[in-house]
Amino acid sequence: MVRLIITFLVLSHFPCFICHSQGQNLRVESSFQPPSITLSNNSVYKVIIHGSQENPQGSLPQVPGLIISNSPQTFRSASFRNGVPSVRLEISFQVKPKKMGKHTIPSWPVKIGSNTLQVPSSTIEVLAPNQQDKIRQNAEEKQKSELKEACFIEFTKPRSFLFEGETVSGSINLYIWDRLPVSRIERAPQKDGDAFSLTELGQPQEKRNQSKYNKSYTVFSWPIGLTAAIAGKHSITFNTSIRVRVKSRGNSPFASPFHNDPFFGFGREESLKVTSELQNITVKSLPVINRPKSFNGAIGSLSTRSTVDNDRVSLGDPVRFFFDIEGQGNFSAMPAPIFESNSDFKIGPPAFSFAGNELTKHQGKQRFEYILTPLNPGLLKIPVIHFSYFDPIQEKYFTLNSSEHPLRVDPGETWIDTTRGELEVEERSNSIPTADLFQTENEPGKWVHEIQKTILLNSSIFWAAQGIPFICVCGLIFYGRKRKRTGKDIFRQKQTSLKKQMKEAIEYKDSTLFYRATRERIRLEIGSFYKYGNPSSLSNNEISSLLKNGNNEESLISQIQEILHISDSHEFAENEEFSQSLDDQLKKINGLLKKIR
Amino acid sequence: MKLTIKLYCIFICAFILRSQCAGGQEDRLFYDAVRTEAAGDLDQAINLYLEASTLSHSANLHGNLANLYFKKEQYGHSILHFRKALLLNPRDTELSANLNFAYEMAKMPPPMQSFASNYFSANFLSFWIIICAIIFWTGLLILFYIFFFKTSKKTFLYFTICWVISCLLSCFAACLSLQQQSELYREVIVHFPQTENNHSKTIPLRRFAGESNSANTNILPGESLIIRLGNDGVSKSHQIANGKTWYLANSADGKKKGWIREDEFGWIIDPNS
Repeated sequence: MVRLIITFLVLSHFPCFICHSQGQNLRVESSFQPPSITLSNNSVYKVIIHGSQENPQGSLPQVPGLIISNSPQTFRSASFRNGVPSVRLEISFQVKPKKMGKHTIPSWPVKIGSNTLQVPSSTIEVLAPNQQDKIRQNAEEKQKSELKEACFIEFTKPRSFLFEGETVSGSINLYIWDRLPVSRIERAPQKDGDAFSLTELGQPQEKRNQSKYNKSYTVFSWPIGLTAAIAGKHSITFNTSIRVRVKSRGNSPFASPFHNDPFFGFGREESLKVTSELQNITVKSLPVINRPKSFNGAIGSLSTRSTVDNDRVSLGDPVRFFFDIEGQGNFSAMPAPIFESNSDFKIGPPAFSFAGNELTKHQGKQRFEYILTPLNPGLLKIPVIHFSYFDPIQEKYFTLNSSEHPLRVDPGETWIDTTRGELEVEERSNSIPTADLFQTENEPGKWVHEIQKTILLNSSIFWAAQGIPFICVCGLIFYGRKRKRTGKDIFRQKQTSLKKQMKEAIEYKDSTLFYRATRERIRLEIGSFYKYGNPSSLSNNEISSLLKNGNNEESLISQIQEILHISDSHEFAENEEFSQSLDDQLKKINGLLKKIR
Repeated sequence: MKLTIKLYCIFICAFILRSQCAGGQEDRLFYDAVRTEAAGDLDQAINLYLEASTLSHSANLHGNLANLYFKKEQYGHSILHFRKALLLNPRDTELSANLNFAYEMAKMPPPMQSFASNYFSANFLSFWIIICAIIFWTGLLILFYIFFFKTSKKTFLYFTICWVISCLLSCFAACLSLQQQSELYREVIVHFPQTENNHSKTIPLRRFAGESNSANTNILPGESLIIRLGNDGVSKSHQIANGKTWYLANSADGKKKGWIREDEFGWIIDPNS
């Protein structure tokens, strides 16, 4: 049920007619004009309201077999009939028949102001198409056909069936008749069919003067890669829209802009949708039987190759492992082969790179780059990659294995404790590169009968050698004891003590102490020299006689006597009148005592 | 008389010739082994080197032998002979580098080089003994000299204290070195027996001397063990019914201990040689 809402129109004119027409009776009429049409013609359904120009309100009933326009045209009129003012309102609906036969619009209510009236029923008779209608229909079909030939999309399917996940390459060709005034292509062709995925369309390749259907065309081609996504029978079409220039003249005998030359008149642009023919493609599921475990969805005709960037590294240094897949296949949907870490290698996720037709990604070389980090030193073998693919032509699975690459992993640098002289260790490790390890010596070198030398403690030479210092020590002890017995040591100790007293007296300027020590020293040294039994008991005269007996010079004797006299007078008479300094006295005494004979 | 002199000369010549021939036999075996190794027959080369090692030892012989064992991935034997080579030539940096690499290949850390192991090792034993003797005798001489020829008692006292401390320190160093020497004489390197194909890649240290009992712990080939001493001061061993001798051993850090069969290790310094 279509609800018809009639818009309100302002009745601003003819107010006097309205006033006078208040007395006129309200009346409603309805009819089809013409009441009988052929199937290819249209008719008008008219509702006429006499006595009012107010907008009516009501709902037009829906009739099967007729298409009634919902945008009616209204016409108001006023006139004097026999001196009596008369007003009326006409409402016209376009009607298009859908099928032959008699169609009746039943009576329906309409509200005008406060009054409700019944619109009477009306009947239209739809007849079979006549000869003129057929001619017109043929002409329209011909126009459509010509229009289709003027601009169309061509997509050829490579095979009648595809496998699920398979990618095929192709191209979408947009043919535009040279005489068609196309201003631009509004958008690239779009796929209509959810069971397929399409690679991105780039810039088209343009080819001019392509002949087809006895016409000259300009062809725009988009290379594509079409991948079947869902198994089953599916259809696919492509559509695009182009902008064409048309003339503004509306009374063309064919109502078609394409038989007129828009270049010689003022025209306008219109959008024209172009669609390819519907293609039905069967998408088969991949066979489950004999499917390898390593199959990951690669479909095509492929070959593999594996390489490494280095065959000798140090422990911890990464190695790049390249696995190349070359040929034709679904590279855009191809996952990386499984390459898992093991006890010898830590393997990271691969990097992808494709070399070939970047638009379709159907033909070329797909490279997977893995970074392998060796975990152990030694001669390792890089694990083998198992890569399986399905060949859609042979309809069989194939498995390819990568080469077994040997890899020499040197131990590399080890962490060096800085407290153990890192420089020394570094120099040593630098001096012996790993390449020089395990070289065979051609000469035996020095032969020995025992690996470990004899312990020194077990050596008789060692113990014999200990006799030398032992003898030295014994000799020293013997000599020391002998020396102690002769009294020389006591004399030396006393002499040293007196010399020390004299030096201290000079330091403290104690002349009394100095001369006392001097006198004692002279007695000790002269008495000991002449082997007198008790030197400390010698008097001054006894010292002089001893010196005379020794044939010493008179001057020496007199000088010693003088010193002894000074010493006595210093101690007993406390006579400190003495001109010479204590230092000079000490030197003089030392010199005199050395001269004693 | 002339006959006696002639016989004496003949005897001397024969003795010299014999000693020269005996001295040349290890050389011949060594060169044969080098040639065999160059020809690619590693097993035969190993046998020749081993035969030469029964006659005499040299750093190059044990180094080459260790290299061959390394190429055959018998890291226990390789480490054993590198250690022997280094005992004969401690200053050879190439041998040290090879030994460290062998340790890495055997999946073991190289032995920790501590201050004590560096300066009080068995190699320094002679040095410390000589130092000890020098300090003792020199100090004793100076002490007696001061006692007999110097009057200062203070000097005598101070010098005596210094001398005693120096003697104690040098004796301590010599004792440490002697202990290292003793351990070196009892040190063995674990390896797989030549005849056995061990798939477990470890060697068990058993709870008791015998095959049937369970392992206390397992050790890797190339690990170092110290044979324990019994109360009588000799290595603690036990001979079982099949004639095999078992030794009680512990690791250098003392954390692992147990009984090990005589063919599962190699002496660094063979006590029977």
